[in-house]
Amino acid sequence: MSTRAQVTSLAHVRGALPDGHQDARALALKLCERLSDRDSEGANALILADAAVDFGPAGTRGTFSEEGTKFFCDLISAFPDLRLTVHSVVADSEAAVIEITVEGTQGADFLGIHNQEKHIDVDQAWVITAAHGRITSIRAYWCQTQLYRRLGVKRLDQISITG
Amino acid sequence: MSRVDATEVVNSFFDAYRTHDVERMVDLCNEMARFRSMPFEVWRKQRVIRGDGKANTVGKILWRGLIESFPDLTNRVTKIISDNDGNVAAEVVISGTQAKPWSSVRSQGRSFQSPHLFVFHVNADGKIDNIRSYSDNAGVRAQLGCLDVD
Repeated sequence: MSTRAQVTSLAHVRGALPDGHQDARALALKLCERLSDRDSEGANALILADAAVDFGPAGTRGTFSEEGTKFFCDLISAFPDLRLTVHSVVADSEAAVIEITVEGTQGADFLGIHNQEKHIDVDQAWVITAAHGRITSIRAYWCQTQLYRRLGVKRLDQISITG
Repeated sequence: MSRVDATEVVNSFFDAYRTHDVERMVDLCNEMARFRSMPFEVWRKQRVIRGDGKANTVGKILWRGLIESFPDLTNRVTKIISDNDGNVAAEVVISGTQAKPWSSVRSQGRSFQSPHLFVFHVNADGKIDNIRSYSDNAGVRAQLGCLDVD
């Protein structure tokens, strides 16, 4: 799959398994769809509570129930017009890598960065593993410098001071 | 190209990177191979310069620059995900100790370790024709002792 279109329907998605479970590719796309829909409960339902999450650039690591739910909730709250655009998916039977652009206009503080109503567009790649129809881990790659630059942060040790 | 072959090409790419053999890295790509380093962007007054171009131009310059600034630069491939269409994603930890300035970061002799994700496409001739890399420059700059965003 290679598209720059926002995910609006999963009807075309490969990955629905015969037993009704979905593989990593389908779950990854569904996760993007639900985050774009600001459906945090729907997103959470795709992920095991003890799934390992690693949003390394944000310094967020741990289990989904302890760290991931808050991260997604904060993301959705801080960017009311959040949009995730999927560009490509590489997947095997257990894992999927999705390349996405995360866009939105800041409407609240995020990761300690004061809200200045600035716009972000940050290219990211997420590695998602799945088993038995649920996401078992998420590792995300992006450049935090790009996020800081777009939100007006000048120094890595003073992220609450924006200009 | 079979899945195994595409993965082998990508592993060869990182073997060459580990031995600082940039010519070999480029030889594994076809002449028109695209390269984009997602974190690379330089904001000027009128435009933004991105790390986007060909592997044998932009890629070569960025890889050589890293090797020159970090003479012990190395990499460790931690996971590879591939499909049957020549797409290969590789999670790789890149590390090194700074000996010379790197971009705007002056050398304080510090070391960094940075998780990267590369997405390759290997064509039917066994050549890489597309590379995109994702990593966190903020993490690298902080480890090197540079706390300015730009």
